[in-house]
Amino acid sequence: MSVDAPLVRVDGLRKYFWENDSLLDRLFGDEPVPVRAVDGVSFDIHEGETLGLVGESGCGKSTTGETLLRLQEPTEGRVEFDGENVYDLGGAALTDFRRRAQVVFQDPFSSLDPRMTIGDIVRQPLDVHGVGTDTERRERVRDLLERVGLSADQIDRYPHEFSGGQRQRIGIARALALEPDFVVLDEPTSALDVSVQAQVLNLLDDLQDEFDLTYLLISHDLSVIRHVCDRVAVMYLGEVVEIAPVEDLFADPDHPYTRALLESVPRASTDERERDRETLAGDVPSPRDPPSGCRFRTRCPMVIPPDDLDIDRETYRALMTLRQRIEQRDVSLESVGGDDQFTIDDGGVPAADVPAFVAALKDRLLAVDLPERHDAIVEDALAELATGDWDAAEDRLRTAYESVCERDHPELGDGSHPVACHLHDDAIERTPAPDSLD
Amino acid sequence: MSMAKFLVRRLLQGIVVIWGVVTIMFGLRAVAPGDPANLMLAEGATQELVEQVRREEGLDEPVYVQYLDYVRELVTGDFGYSWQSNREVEAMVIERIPATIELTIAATIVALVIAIPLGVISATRRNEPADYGATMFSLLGISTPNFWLGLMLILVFGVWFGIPYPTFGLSWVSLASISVPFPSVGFYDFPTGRRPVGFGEAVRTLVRYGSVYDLLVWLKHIALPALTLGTYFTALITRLTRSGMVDELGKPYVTASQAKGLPSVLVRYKHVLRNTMIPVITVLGLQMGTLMGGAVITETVFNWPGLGLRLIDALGTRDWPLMQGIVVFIAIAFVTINIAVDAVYNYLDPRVSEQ
Amino acid sequence: MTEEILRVSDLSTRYFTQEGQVNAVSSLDLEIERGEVFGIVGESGSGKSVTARSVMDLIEPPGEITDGEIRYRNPDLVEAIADDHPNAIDGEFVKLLELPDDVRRSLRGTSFSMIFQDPESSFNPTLTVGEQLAEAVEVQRRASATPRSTRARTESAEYSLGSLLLSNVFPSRRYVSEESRDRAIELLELVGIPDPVERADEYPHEYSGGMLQRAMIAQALAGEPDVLIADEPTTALDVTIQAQILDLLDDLQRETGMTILLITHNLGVIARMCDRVGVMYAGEIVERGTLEDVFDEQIHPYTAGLLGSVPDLEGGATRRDADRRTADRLQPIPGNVPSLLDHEMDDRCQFADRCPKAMTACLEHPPEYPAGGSDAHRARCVLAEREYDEDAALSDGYFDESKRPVGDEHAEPAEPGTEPPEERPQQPAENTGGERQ
Repeated sequence: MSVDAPLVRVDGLRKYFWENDSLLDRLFGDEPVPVRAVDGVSFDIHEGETLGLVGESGCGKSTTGETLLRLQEPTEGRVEFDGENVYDLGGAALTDFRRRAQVVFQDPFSSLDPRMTIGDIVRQPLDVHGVGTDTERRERVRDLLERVGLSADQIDRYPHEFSGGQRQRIGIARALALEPDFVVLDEPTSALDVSVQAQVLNLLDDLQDEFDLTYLLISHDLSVIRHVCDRVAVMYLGEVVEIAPVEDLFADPDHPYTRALLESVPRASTDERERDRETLAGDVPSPRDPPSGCRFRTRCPMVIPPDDLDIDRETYRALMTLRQRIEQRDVSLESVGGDDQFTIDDGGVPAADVPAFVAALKDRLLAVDLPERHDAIVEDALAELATGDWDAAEDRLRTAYESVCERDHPELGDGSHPVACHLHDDAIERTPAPDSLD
Repeated sequence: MSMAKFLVRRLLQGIVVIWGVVTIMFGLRAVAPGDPANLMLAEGATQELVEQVRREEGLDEPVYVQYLDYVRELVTGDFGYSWQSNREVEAMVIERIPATIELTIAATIVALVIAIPLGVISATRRNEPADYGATMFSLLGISTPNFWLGLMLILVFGVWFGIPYPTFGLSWVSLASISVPFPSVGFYDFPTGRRPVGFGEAVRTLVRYGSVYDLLVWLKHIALPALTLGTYFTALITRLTRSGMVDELGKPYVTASQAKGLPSVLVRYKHVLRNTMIPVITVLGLQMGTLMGGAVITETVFNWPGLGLRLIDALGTRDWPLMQGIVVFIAIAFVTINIAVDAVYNYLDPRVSEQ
Repeated sequence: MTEEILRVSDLSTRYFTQEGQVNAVSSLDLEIERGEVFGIVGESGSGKSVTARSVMDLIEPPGEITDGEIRYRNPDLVEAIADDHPNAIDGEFVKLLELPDDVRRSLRGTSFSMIFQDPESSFNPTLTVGEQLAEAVEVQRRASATPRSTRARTESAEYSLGSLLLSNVFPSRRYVSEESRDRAIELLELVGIPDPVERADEYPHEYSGGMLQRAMIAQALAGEPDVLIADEPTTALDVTIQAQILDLLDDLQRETGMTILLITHNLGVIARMCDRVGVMYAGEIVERGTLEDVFDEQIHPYTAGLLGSVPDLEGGATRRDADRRTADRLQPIPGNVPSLLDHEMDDRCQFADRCPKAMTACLEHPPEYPAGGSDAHRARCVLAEREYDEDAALSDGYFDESKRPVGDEHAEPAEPGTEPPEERPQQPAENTGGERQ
C-alpha cells in the first residue's frame, strides 16, 4: 500500500435529501425535513488498494459512492481525487476526472441500454471522450470484451442475449474502456448467483492487477468484502462506525455493530447450527430523525450504563428499549390489559386502577425481571403514563438511566483501525496491531 | 402530505389552468377576423351606431385593456351578454348544463356497466375466445368516430327499423325551468305526443304520480346518445381494466393470497379488482373532460339540447361571449372533476395519502 | 423413527412457452419427514421455487405438472375423502395430484402454507395487514367448522360473488369475522410485533421489511399448517434482520413441531436451519442427504462447486496476506446456468458441460445412486459408484461444438466454445482447470 497521499480522500461528506421542500410547504410553514443519507463520512483510499464499504440497506453506502463520483452534488464536505477537490472541478479537469473515475452498477439488467449492441455500449465512453480513431476504438472494444471473458465475436449482440454474469462483464468492460485509475463497484455481484459471483470477483481481482486499479467496493455481503478488500469501512445510518484492515476487522471487530453484523451472517458449514450468536433486535431507525449521540445506541447490546448504576447488560438494554418506546410515544395505552379493561378519559385511567394498569403495562413492555430498585423506578414512570403524562415518564427514566451513548456523539478518530464507539474512547491512541501492514 | 395542503395545491393548479383557457380564448377572439360590433348589430347598421357600440363595449381600447377588463369581469362572475340573443351568458350556460351532465353521466354508466365486466372476463380468460372478442370490440370502439356512430345508430334504429324518433332529444326541458322552444322535429315525443322531459322532472313524475311513463320516455331518448358518447369510453375502460387486472394478477400478493387458501372470488374481486380500479378511476376522471368534448359532437348529431349544441350554435354565429362562457365552464368542470378524482385516489390508495 | 409426511416421486413440471417447452422440474424425488426442516438449495433457474409451487398447487398456465406423484400423509383427510375420491388414497397417504382442484385448494393454508421472498410485494398494498391476516384465519376457521366435509371446505359453497356483493351492504355477510380479527392480532403478537392491536390496522407500507416478513410468517401460521414452505424467506432482508427471522422460524418450528420446506440459494441459511438438504441443478435434485452428507461428504461436483464458490467469512487467508496471488482464490464453477428449454437439453448429466470431472459415462443421464454417509444420502452422479478415471474423461473441448443454434436468443450466447473461461489462461493451476488436466 502506498504511503503517499491517498488517491481519494473523502472529508466530512454529507448528502441530505430534503422532504417538504416545495414552495407550498413553505407557504404552510412546514419545516423542510432532511433525510440524512450520508452524514459526515471521511475516509481515504490509497492507490492500488481496494476499500470496502459495507453496511445494510439504507445506510448510505451507495449514496456515498455516487456522491464521491459527483454523480450527485454533496450537501457538505469535500472529496479530493489526486489532490484536487472534485466538486471544484470544471471544464477539462472535470472531463479528465470523469475519465479517470468510473463506476460499475449493481443491476446488470437495467444499467445497459437494451437497444444498443454491447459493442456500442462499451464503445460509447470512447466516443464521448473522443479517444482514438474509429478503427482504434473498434479494436479497443474487441480487446476489452476479450479481456473480461467475453468473445469479440459477440460485439454485435444485444444485452438481452446475455446472462446476468455476462452483462456484469459488459458493464465492467464499459467502465474500463477509458483506462480509469479508480473504479467504484456498487454491489457488482449482488444480483448474481454464487457460482457466477465467484467468476466476476476473480475477474475484478485480475483486472486490478493488470490495470493498476484502485477500487471502492460497495457491498452488503461481508464474505465478498472479506475476500476482495484490503481495508473496510463499516457504515451505519449514514456514518462510518469503523475502518480497519480487512483481517483486523474480521478477526477483531471493535464496534458492536460490526460485531453483530459479522455474527449475523450464517456460515455455510455444518457447525453453523451450534454457533451461538446474538442477533440485533429491532430495525434501523429512520434517517429523517436519527438518534442522538451514537446512532447505533438504539439497538446496541453494549450500550453503556451510567457509572453509578449497578446493572447487568441485558437489563440495561431492556430498559433503554423501553425508554425509546416511551420517548417515541410508541406505546398504545388504549389497548393495555386487553379488551377495555381500563377506561381512559382525559388521557388517564382512574386512580384506583393505576397499580393494575402499571402492572399490565410493565408486563407488556418488559420481558425481563427487574432488580427491586429498578423495578420501583420503572413503576414510577409507568404510573405517570397512567395519567397520560408522557413527558414526566420520559424525564423520570432519563434521570435514572441516561447513557453517555445518547449524550455524546462518538468520533471516528485516526489511526489504522479507528472506531466510533464510546467503549473504545481510549482506543484511539492504541498502537496498531502487529499483524496489520505498514 | 396533509389533505388541506393537497387541496390547496390542486386548487392553485386548477386556477392556473382556467386562467390559461381564458387567455387563449381571448387571444383567439382578438385575432379572429371580423369586427365584433358588426356581429352584434343587425346588418346595415349605421356607422355611427357601430362606433357607439364599439365605445360602449370598450372595443376601441387597446387589447391589453380589453383583456384586463375581461378577466376582471370573469373574476367577478360577469360573463357578459350574448351578442346574438342579448341574453345573459351565465343563464344561457346554466340552463343547458343539466342536459349535458345527464348525457355525460349516462354515457359513463353505460361505459362502466359494459366495460368493467368485459375487462374482468377478458383478463381472467386470457387468450380465450371471450378475450379476443372483447379485444376486438374495444379496438372497434376506440377507432369508431362518434359522429359516424351516431348517424349509423339513427339510420339503423330510426330509419331501417322504423322506430319513430327514438333518438332525438328535442324539446327537453331543463331543471332551471326555462323552457326554450326548439326547431320543429320531435317537439313532441312521437307517437305519444307527450313532451319529453329531463331526468329530474321524470323522477318527479314518478314520485308524485307513481308513473314511470316520463322516465321511460327519457330513457328512450337518452339511450342512443349515451351509447354513442359512451362507446369510445367503454372501449377505453375495457382495455384499461383488462391490462390493469392482468398486471395485478401477476403480482406476488395474488399468489400469496392463493397460498393462504383464500377463495378465488375474494382474491379476484376483493383484492385484484379493487386495486385495478384505482388507476382506472383516475383515467375515468381525466376522460370526463374528453367526454364533454365528445358531447359537443354527439349533441349535434342527436340535437341534444346541451352545452355542446349551444357551443356549436355560438360558433356558427361567432357569438364570442357565449363561446367563452361555455368553454370556461367546461374548463372549470374539468378541473373540479380532476381534483375530486385525486381526492378519491387518495382515499383508495393508502400509499398515496401517506406521502 | 419419524414418519414421512410428504413424498414426492418423479415429479415433472413443464412450462409451455412460445420459445418451447421449459423443463423447470424433471423427475424429482423427495421425502420429507414430519417435524424436520428440509432445505432445497440451488441457483436461480434451478427449479427450486417451481418445486415448492408444485407442492402448493400454485402452478399457473403456461406451467403444468406433467408427471409424477405427490403423497401427503394425513389420516384425517384420508377418512374425509375416502368416499368421494377412493382412487386418491394410498394407505395413510393422499395422492394430491389425483384430487380435484377444489379439494386441493382447500388444503392451502390448512395443510400447506407458504411464505414468500419479498414481503413488500406479497401483501396487498391497499388492505391493512390485520385484514389480510384475518382472511387467512378465516379460511382455517371455516374449514375446521366442518372438518369432515371436504365439500364444505371448498369455496363454491362457502363464498360466492353474490356474497361478496352483499357484504358491501350487510356487514354480517363479510367474509372476515370479528373472531378472526382478534386471532390475527394474537398471531402478530406471537411473531414478535410490538403493539399488535395498532399494527393490525396499518398498511403494509407502514411496516419495515423485517416486520412485514414476521407478519407474513404469522399469516402462514394462521391455518396451523402441517407443512410450511418458505421460499427464500430472508433473501430480501438485511443480514441482521435475516438473523432475527431465522431465529423466529427456528423457535416457531420447535414450539409447534411443524415441518418446514426451506428454499434458498444461501448455503449459510441452509446450514443454520436444515436437518436435511437437497441440491438442485437444472430442474433435478442432484444430491440429497443430511446436512453433513451434503456439506462434508458431497459426491456431486456441482455441490462441491457451489460450496467452493462461497467466499469464507472465517479462516483461510485474506488477500492482504503477503503472497496474495496464491491467497485463496474463489473456485468458481465455469460456464453459465444451463438452458432448460427442452430442445436444447441433451439426455445426459446436465452438469457435465461445466463439470471438472466429466467422463464418457456422464453422457448418459445418471440415476440417483446411494452414496456414503447416512442412509438418506443420494447423488445423481456416476462418481457415487466409481472413482474419477482420467482415461475416461471427456476432452476439454468436448461440449464446444455447441448444438445450440447460433443466434438463439434465450440460450446463453456464450457457447462454451466461444467463451473462454477467463481464468484458464491466467491461472491454470488455481482453478478447476487443475483438475481438468
